[in-house]
Amino acid sequence: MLTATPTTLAGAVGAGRAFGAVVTQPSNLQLLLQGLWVTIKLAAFSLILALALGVVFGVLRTVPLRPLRAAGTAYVEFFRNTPLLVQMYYWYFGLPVLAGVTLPGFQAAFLALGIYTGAFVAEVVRAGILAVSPGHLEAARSLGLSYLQTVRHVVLPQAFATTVPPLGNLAIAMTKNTSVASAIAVQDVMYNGNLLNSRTFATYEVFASVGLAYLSLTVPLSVLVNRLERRLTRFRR
Amino acid sequence: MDQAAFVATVCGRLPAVCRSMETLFDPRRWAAFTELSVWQNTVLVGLRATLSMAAIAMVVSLVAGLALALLRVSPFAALRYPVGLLVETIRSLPVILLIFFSSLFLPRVGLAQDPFVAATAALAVYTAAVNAEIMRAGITAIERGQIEAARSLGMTYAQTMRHVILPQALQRVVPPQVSQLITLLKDTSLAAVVGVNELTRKMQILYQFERPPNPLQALFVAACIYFILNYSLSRLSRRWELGVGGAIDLH
Amino acid sequence: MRLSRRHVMRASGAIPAATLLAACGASQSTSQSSAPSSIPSPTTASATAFPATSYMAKIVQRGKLIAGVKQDQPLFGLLNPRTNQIEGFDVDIVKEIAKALFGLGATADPFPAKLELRGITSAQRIPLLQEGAIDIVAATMTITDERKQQIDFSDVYYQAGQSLLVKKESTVAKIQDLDKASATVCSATGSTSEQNITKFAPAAQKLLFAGYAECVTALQQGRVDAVSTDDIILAGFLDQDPNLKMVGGQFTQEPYGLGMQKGNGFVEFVNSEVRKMKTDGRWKSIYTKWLGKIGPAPEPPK
Repeated sequence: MLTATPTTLAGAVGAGRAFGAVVTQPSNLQLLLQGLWVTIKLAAFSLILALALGVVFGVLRTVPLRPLRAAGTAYVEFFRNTPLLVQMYYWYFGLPVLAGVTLPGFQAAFLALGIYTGAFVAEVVRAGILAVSPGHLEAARSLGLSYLQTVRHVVLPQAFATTVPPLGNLAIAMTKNTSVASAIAVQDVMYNGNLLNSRTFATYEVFASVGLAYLSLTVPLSVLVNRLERRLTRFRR
Repeated sequence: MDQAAFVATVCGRLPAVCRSMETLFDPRRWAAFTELSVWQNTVLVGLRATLSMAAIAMVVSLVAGLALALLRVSPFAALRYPVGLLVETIRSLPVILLIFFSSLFLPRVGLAQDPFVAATAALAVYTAAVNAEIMRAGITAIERGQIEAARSLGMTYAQTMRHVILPQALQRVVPPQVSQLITLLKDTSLAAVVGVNELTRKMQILYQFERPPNPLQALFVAACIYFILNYSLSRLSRRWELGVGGAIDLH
Repeated sequence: MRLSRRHVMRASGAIPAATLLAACGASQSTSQSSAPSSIPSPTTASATAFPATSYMAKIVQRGKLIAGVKQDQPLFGLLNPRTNQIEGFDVDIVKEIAKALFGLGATADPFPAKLELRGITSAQRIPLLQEGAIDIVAATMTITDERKQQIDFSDVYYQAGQSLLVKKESTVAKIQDLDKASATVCSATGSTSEQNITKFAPAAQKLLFAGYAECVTALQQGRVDAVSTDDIILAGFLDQDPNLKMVGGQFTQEPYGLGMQKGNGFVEFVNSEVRKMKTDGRWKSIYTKWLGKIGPAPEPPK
C-alpha cells in the first residue's frame, strides 16, 4: 500500500515547513551523503572497468585480423545499442538464473556500467588510434627521431588530443548513469533520495538536493574537460 | 564418440555450464515467445509505447532545442547567460532523476496524472537541453567569414541566421541528432521505474508472472528489439554522414 | 496524454454502436470473459431511476463508468500479458457496480461498453479522483483517516493485513523473527508496508524496489529473507511460485475500500450495492473466482 500523497502545491512544498528543513536534519543529510559516497565509488570503479575494456576492444577493432575485429565490433554495437537499465536487470536478475551467481546490487551495477560504458570508450580509443596518420610516423622517423621520441612527441600528443575530451564526456555521462543502479536497489544518492522523499514528502527539497549532489560531481568534471579540451586544441595548433 | 556420452562427460566436468545452458534453452522459458498473443499484447503494446514516447519527446525537443540554441547564440547577453545556465544544468543531471521528479511533481500541481505523460515530458526536457547544445555547436561551427559576408551583403541578423547559417548548421547536426535519438530510445526504458507500460516494463511483467520465471529470455528479447532499432538508426546515420557530410568533423 | 488515452480507449473498445460491439466481442475470443453474445441494452427504467442532478445520472448520461484499477497486482488487478486486458477481484467488483448503474442482467459483462478500466498506480489514486478523471477507484486502497479527509470511501470490501512471504524451507514464522541485523526484508519504496517493517522489526535490513514483483524475484534468488506487504498481494505471488509460503498471519489491519470523489453523493449508491453483493452471494463468488486458491471464502467484511 502506497501512502497518500499531498495533492496541493502547498502540500507538495511541505505544508509550512521551511525549505531546507528536511535535508539539513543530520540523519537525513547523512543518508544523502552516504548515498553520494556510494555513487562516487560506483562511478570510480566502473570507470576503471570501462577504460580497461574500452582499450582492449578499441585496439581489437583496429587489428588486421578479421575475427578479432568482428569480436570488437559485436561487443561495441550490442552494448552500445541496448538500454543500460535492461543490462542492469540482466546482470542482477538474469545472471542468477543463468549461472547461479547472485551478485549484490553494487557489483551488478558495476559490471553493467563498466561494460556499457566500455563500448563507448572502445569507439573513442579506436578513433584515437586511427587519428595518428602513418605519414606522421614515417616523417618523424625520417627526421631521425627514435621510436620512443616518436611516441612521446608525435603519437601521444595526437592520440591525447583526440581521445581525452570525449573520454571526459563519457566519464560525465557515466557518473550520471550510476543513478540507474537505484532501480536494482543499490543505495546510491538517487535511491536514498527516493527513500527520503517517500518518508517526508518534501519532494522539491529532496530532489533539489539530489540534483545538487549530481551537479557537484558533473560540473567540476565538465569544467575540467573543457579546460583540457581548450589546452589540447591549442597544443595541436 | 556417442553424443549423449559426450554431453555426459562435459556435464560431469562442468556442471555449472550445463545447468546454465539448460536454463538458457529451457523450452518452457521460451514458450511465451511462441505465442502470438504475447507478441501482440506484450511486445507490440510495449514497443508502441516506447516508440510513441521517443517520437513525441524527439519532436518536442528538436523544436525546443533549436529555440534554446538560437537564444544561446543571440547577441543579447541577458538571454544568452540564463539560457546557457538552464541548458547546462539540465544536461548535467541524470535522466532518471528528471523522470522521478516529473512523475511526482506534475501530478501534484494537477498537470499530468499519467506517468506516460510525466516521463515523456522529462525525456523531452532533457533531450531539448542536449539538442540545444548540439545545435549551438552546429551554428558556431559555421565560419565567421560567411556571417561577415552575409552581413556585408546587407542581410539582417535574422536573415543571415535563416538563409546562411541554419541551412548549413542543421545539415551538420543530423548525425549527432541521430545518436541523440538512439540515446533517447534507450532512455525511454527508464520510464519503467515510474510504471509506464513501455517495452521494458511489459517484458518485466511478463517474466515475473511466467512460470517458471524467464527474466533471461524476456530481457534478451527486449535487448534484441532495442538493438535492432538502434543499430538500424546508427547505420542510417552513418550512410547519411558518408553521403552528405563526409568532410564534416563534428566530434 | 492523447496517445495514452487512445491506448486506453482501444483497450476498452470504446465503440458505442451495438453492431460493432458484437464484432468486437468476436475478435476478442482469446479474452477470458465469456460474455453472452448479446449484451442486454440498459433499460431506460434504470437510467431514469436516478434524480436528474445526481452523480449516477451523470454517469448514465455519459454512457459508461470510468474506474481506476491496478494493473500490476496479481488477483486484484493485473494486466494479462496475453490479452492486454486488466483482470482480478477489484475489476469484478467495479463490474458489479457498473451493472447496477446501467441496469444490466446478472450474467451481462459491462466491459467494455459500459465500463472503462484505467490502469493506475498507487500514487495516482487520490489525485485522479479529485480531478474528476475517474468515477471510482478499486485499487487495493486501505481506508485511512488521512485519506478520508480527501476522498469518500465505501464500506470495507476486503479485509487485508500485512504478512510475510518466505521460501518454503525458511524458519521465519513471524515478523519478530526478522528483527535482527542479519535479516533482510523486501518491500516497495514509499509504502506503508515499508514503514510497518521499521515499526515491527526495527533491526532488520531493508531492500526497497519500485514494485513487489522485483521483491519476489529477489526472494526467489535468495537476496532477501522475506517480502512483506498486504497478505493478499503476497497471495498473488504465492499463486505464481509453489516454492514460497506465507507466514506470520496479519500483523496489521488493512481494510480496503472503494474510493470516490468527496461529496458527490456517489458513495451512497456504491455502498448500497456493496452491501447487496455481500449478502446475495456475489461477493463470495468473486472471492472464490480469484482468491479461492488461498482458501474457502470467508464471511464478507462488515
